[in-house]
Amino acid sequence: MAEPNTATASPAPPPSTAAAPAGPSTSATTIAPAPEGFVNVVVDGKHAVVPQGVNLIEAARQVNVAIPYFCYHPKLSIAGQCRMCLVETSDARGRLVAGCQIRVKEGLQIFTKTDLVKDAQRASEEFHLVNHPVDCAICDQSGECKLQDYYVGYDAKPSRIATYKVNKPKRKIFGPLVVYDGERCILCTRCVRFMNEIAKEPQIAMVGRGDHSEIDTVPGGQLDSKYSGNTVDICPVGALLNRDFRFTSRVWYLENERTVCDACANGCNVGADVRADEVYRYLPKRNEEVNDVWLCDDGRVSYHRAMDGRVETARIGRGDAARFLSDEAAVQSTAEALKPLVGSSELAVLISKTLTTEEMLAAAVFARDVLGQKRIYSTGRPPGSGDDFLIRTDKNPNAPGLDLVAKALGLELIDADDPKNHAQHLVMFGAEMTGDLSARGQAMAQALKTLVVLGVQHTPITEAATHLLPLSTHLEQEGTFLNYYGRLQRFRQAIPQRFDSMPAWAWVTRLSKALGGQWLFESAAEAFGVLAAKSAPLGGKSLEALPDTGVVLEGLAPAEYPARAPRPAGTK
Amino acid sequence: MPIDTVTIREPDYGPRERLYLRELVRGLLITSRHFFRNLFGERDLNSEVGERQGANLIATVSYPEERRAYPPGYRGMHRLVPREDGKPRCVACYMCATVCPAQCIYIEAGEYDQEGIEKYPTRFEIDELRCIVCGFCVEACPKDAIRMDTGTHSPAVLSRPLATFDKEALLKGPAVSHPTDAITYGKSRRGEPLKH
Ligand code: SF4
Ligand code: SF4
Ligand code: SF4
Ligand code: SF4
Ligand code: FES
Repeated sequence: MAEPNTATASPAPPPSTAAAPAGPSTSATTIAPAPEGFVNVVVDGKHAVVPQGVNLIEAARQVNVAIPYFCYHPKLSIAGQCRMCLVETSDARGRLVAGCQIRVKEGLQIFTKTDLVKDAQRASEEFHLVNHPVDCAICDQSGECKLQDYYVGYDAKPSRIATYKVNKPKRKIFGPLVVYDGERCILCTRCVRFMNEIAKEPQIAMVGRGDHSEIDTVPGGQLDSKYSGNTVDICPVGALLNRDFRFTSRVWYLENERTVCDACANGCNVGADVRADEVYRYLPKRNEEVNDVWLCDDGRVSYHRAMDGRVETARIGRGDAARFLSDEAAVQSTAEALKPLVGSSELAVLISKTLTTEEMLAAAVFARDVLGQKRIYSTGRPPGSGDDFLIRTDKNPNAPGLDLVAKALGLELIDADDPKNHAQHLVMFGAEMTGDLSARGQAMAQALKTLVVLGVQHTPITEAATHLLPLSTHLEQEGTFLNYYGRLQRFRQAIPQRFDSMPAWAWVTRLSKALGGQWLFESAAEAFGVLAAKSAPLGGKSLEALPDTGVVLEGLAPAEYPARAPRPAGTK
Repeated sequence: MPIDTVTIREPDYGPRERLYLRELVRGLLITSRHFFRNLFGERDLNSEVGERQGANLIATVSYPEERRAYPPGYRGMHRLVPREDGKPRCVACYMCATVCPAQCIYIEAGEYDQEGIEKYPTRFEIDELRCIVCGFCVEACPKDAIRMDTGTHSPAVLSRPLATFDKEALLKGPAVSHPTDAITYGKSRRGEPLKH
């Protein structure tokens, strides 16, 4: 390993110059005074300059020294519950202090590897295991469990417990997404603090005394908050488990691919856990300006859109006349149906607000230059419930993206529900409808002469389609989403394209070729390049150069942010 | 880089070896000895020939009608060990599938609704063609749920898919129980019903 970086705090302190510090020196070498708002500390002999007010765990982290902890969580209040973080400091040698509770001060020395500390860590781990069932073999947490890791790292001794362990409820259903195992719980109260402090819905609490303590839902209630899944993420052991993911895979088979949640306009950063080209779960990824480290429950299970109910192959004709075709044959047949409609006012092109920006651009140039349209219609998922934290009422991930595309191409953008829309022939990029998909919408769709649909999942619209082409989800392609406050977030391809599906820009390329158009997109980056050249807010950006956490585009920010929603640094 | 060379010379054979006659006669004698022994039915009493039928006393084992027993400890076909109630002991922990160097074990897990045992395999398949018979799966299993003690090797098959054995085919042989098996939900470790 390289020399640990001794100055990782930001803003970086000035390099230590000749100026010798006044006052007593805490180590043999002279240490320059820390800049305003920072203090000097020494962790196991390594000098660190850390922000004032951080605790010993965070201070040690800056010089790559790990202090083990269960109950501490950087985003929650301090509980001092687990005593795993005990260390010695120069203030009181021979006494142990909790690294999560004690704050740094100028010149403090922290010792994490003395015999006293090692003894305390081993004792703490041993105490946590006194009544622990150690049923790792059937525990979904196994492989990402702090108790397991710390046993190997700080204890690694055979059990000395000769008595029977305390039995507690196992497999207690807490809510729609969460199941609780009382025996595995180490009573760190992270879950309780999360529900109180972050979700602000106190639905669970610690009940009972001594070794009969356990976590339980409040009487008559259940853990049905829209943020309940986060308790599973922050539970350091396998006490709270995700019922959606439960028993579907062991975690060491999964590979985490960074992407963006497409269940609402917030655009939370997530990691898709992938095994054998299938997504097994979403976990939040840290982005303090979008979702902090949290994720809502609807978003957490939204990967199912890519897994279940997919349109698998291209289909021509509806009802009894339906035939399933290869991609090439379907493109030919669709192009033939569209050819007489080029430039017709009977034709309307609908673009879903769930597509990636690149797909929208391809669809829009196809509508304008190949199909000769002057306006495009927007469609998407109907609005749902929202709150002042992460969940937005707009359930489409990329509504501002469609505005951007329409503006850049000089197209009029009209809501698909607009009564002006009496087209006989429709081309739909995305099979969502803002209006009701009930009998009325379905009957209308059946009455259309031509209904070309590029759809991800089967809906009443895809059933009514005369030409149905399978569309890839955002997980199966590279691209960007523009979230509700104008943050352009790039995501990479997490899984290969499933079944016969393709991104919309790939379909456009084929259809355009068959219709003699000139729009041929080889990749999402190419489509992005075309848009960036035409759109002022994008200002010649390139897809490859976009950072993982996204960039905020000028002039799109809302006048007011929802009260508790994470927002770009420096905005109110 | 200099390379060390070693020169190997053919050993010197004398005229007796070069003539080869003596070895030829010795070989023929062995063949003839077995021929006459079989002809007059003198049985090799040391061989443990299983399933020998009739009054056949010849020394040659007529496979497959007759088989020699495998030595104890032979790693044969896998079996999934049943519990006393006939269900597999396996808890679908994937330890065997994880350790398997040939990656030939496929498991899908499910959840029992009522029983004290939470997790069980809804699918458990072993591709015996890919298996390299290392026995790691048996070592890795924390539940003594998979064993290679059937004493038979995996059978010859007419097509590759037939060599993949599923849960039903693998679940066989005598049931096994361990003292710790009594620990189930709702009972204490002494087997008494829980108080709360
Ligand atoms: S919580 Fe951790 S230590 Fe406990 S059974 Fe689960 S994986 Fe094992
Ligand atoms: S359920 Fe998990 S997070 Fe909650 S107290 Fe127990 S161990 Fe901690
Ligand atoms: S014997 Fe070895 S190769 Fe065969 S299934 Fe077991 S672990 Fe895999
Ligand atoms: S290791 Fe044993 S218990 Fe685990 S899955 Fe394999 S056979 Fe089942
Ligand atoms: S992390 Fe300090 S007491 Fe738990």
